[in-house]
Amino acid sequence: MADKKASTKTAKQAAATLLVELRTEEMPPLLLDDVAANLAANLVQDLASNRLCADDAYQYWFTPRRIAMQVEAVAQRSADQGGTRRGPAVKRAYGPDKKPTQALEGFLRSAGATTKDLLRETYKGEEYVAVKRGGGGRPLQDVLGPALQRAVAKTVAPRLMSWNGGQDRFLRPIRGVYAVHGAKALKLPQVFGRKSLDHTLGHRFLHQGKTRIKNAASYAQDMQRGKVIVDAKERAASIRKQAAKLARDVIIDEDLLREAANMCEHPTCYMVEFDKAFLDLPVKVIETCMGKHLRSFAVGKKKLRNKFIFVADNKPRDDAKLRKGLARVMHARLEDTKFIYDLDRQVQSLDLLKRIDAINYVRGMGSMLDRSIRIEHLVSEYAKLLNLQQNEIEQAEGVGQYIKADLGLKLVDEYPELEGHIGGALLDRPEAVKKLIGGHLDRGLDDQPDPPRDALVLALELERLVTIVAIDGLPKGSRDPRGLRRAMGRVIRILRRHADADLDILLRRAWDTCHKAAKKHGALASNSFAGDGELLLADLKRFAIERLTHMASDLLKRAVDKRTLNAIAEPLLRDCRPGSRPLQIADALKRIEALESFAQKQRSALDRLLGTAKRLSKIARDHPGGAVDAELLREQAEQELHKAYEERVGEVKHLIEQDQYVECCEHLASLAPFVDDFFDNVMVKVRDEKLRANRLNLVCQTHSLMNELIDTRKLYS
Amino acid sequence: MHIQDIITNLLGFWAKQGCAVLQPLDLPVGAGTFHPATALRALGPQPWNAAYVQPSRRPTDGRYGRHRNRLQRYYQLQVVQKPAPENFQELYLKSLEKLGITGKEHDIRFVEDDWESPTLGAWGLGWEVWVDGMEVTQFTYFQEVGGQKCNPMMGEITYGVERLAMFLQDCDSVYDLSWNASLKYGDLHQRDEFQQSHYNFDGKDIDELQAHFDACAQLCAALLGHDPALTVPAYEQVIHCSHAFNLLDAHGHYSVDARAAAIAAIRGLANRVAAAHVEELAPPAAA
Repeated sequence: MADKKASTKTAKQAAATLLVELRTEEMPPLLLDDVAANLAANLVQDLASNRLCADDAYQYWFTPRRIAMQVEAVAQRSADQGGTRRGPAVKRAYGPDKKPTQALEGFLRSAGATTKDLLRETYKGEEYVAVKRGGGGRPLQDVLGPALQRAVAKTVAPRLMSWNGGQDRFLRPIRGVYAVHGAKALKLPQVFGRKSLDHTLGHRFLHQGKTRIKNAASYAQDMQRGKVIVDAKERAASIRKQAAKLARDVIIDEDLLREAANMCEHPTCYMVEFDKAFLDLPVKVIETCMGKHLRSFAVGKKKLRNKFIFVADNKPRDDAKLRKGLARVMHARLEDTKFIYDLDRQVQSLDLLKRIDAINYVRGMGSMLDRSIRIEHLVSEYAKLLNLQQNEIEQAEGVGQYIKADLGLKLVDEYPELEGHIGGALLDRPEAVKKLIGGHLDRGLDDQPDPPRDALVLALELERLVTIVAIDGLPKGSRDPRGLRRAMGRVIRILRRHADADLDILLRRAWDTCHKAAKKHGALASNSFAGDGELLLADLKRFAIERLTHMASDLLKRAVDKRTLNAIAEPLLRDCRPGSRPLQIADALKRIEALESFAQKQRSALDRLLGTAKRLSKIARDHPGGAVDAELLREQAEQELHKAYEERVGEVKHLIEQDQYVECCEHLASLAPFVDDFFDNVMVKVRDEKLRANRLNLVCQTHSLMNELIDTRKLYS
Repeated sequence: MHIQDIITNLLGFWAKQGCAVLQPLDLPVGAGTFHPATALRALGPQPWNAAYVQPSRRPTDGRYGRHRNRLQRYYQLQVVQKPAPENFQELYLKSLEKLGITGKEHDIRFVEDDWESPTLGAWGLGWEVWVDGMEVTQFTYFQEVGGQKCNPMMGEITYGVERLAMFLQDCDSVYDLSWNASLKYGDLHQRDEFQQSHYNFDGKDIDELQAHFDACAQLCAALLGHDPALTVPAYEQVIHCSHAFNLLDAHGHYSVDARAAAIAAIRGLANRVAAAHVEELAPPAAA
């Protein structure tokens, strides 16, 4: 015992900060954040499970060429736990040729050990191989290499490359490993098919030769000498500052900024001019062209100026060539863009419709023109369902089949991200219609009241949701390649403004339209379209409620307690069975707000309500429930509870119908004293079966009333 | 630096790195990757190092010789090394120094750009290289060709010769580039661009092209069915199919579905060629 204490102590004394840097070739900027975060977490967890450090005291940084992880208080040698981990029996561990069998190799792999670490031990008369538990007592530099490789092997990304004969997989090849413990560089004998180095490299061009850090703890500062800013936030801040200094009216797109900051190790901004003639192009087109080709920022918040800001990862003493090169590239790109734009301007709107008739939408659902016709039909129905004014209805209907006409433009071929943003400008249609079409994918506009646009966006998104979900199903897990969650999110944002709109009816109309199309174009063969649609519609309604709970804090602009959300969502979800039942988004939000307000203002009433609901639920949960026979109620407390129930049941339903949710909560809370009284004075589980069943029914019906508006279980559990 | 000097300098540099300097493939291809020295040599375990210039045809990019930097036929300088050396990026930067492009004066960037050839059933991960914002090179680590895993991994560098020249000669129009002291790029190619654009966009017989496509596909299958499979000529038929496809595409012949189907047909052939070729390259199984 004394020994063990001593060894832990030595381990603690030798604890120091650990820095591990993986140096790679340039990694994809948009994947870096996630990959680095997961890598660091996985490595630290691995080291912690080897009892080398805590699992939460670490930080990490990344640039396109390196990911660095800094872990606090890492022991030099893992704490010796004592004890062993038993592997396969010796007779199964070695083949006739005395070589390790698959069983042994598997064991060694899982234990992170080699044949050198093997011990023998006898268990129930049989001899087994074993290793010291948890790799305990092993030095850090033996554990670190395999731990790094395991952490890297867990990397998830859309595309990974493999090198070293397929043994290693990562975003790009790892070209150097530099590990420093305290002030000492660790020698890892074999990691990613190489030895670790006693140095790293600084910036590719701004620094020459090797770079070493003084101490694992001072990595971020020390790398500055190598002209590398390892902190992505710091690089982004530097870009923002430099750009603002060059032009106060620079337009910083946050996504672009994040990308630009992940494409350099030491940013320097340059502002360059382009030919004023290109300012004739729509602003969105210029911005897209700049962002796509040179990841550059546009300048001119009120009115675009003929300048752009480029983020270089170098700082040549004479920057004339660099500036000239940038100007040339931008000129060529804008010129090409303008060439395409001018071609598009000569195309008649009707010809665009012909073009999109040649573009497939989803297999079996016809062309993009067919889709546009469906949307045209839905817009007109939705405009009426949303109670639009006559002139607004006409405006929405004026969009007609042109809603997706922009897909026929060469410009959208060249810049797919312009779909839904600029199409209007290139059509020979009335101004109001052009505006509607032009911004139909601008999600920023979803929060602004614009009834014709609302009808249009609902038609677009619900048509797509029904079609895609019918054919491919709802998105699962974190994957949502078709952006269905976002689509439902838009629907919710818009329906919030239309208190009377019933998502159930809107979905039904979309289903009818899409189902007809599936019949006509062949998708009917797919299972979901072949059904009657009720299951699908129920799924979509549930999906909408899930999305709504997810977005509620955002919509209400304050943090809403998750339990409150679930308590409101549960009864709504229950109501999403196949069949026609209304679902109003604005109403669901109202319920959430009411429960919040009730909880805030009448906390004790809510607590009492929850307390009694919990008592009821303990008994009610195993009982199917049934009608209460008033004749069989003998005790005063149960008669009064029944009476209280009878008095309230109608009123509760009425209040829910009238959207008087706070009052409804109050009403439910007023049941509490009767329930308490009942439990205090009445025995439920009596011998007499009839009596018992009747009392159980009373408990059940009270319980179910209490959970009519809110699922109390979500609140007290 | 004249275009011909750019080419000589680069080929000279890579010859010193052990690359065999080869000649272009004598068939119309969309990119240097189609040359068997890349597409077929990327397969199998044998080391391989080569460099060559490949004229490349992209019929849809034609602009009748009137656009300053879009061409329906241009030059790619292709370098392949298998296995890709550890310092492939550094070697590439050194090759740029041979042209006078250094990190002291320029912003040189490796910008993520993964490469895929749906007709060849090939993909790789890599970058486009920017010099002061101009994309002058495509840099790729091959992961698969013809549906077959590339192991060891081949590294491919594709220099855009015209792009580099426009950059080095500080020239805004491709036709003004100097090929040598007396010839301009326009002297050599402007008339071609005009006439080929006409032919590519307007002048060809669709039915004949479609028939050509079908005949090549049939021949490819027949060559693969030969015992033993004749993979090299079969591969050439894949190239013919691919070019016929490009021409048909330039003429707007394909609907979305038909286009996808044609690509899938070519990929199917490429995959069969690659599988047969890998079999050829495999060392005979131990008895």
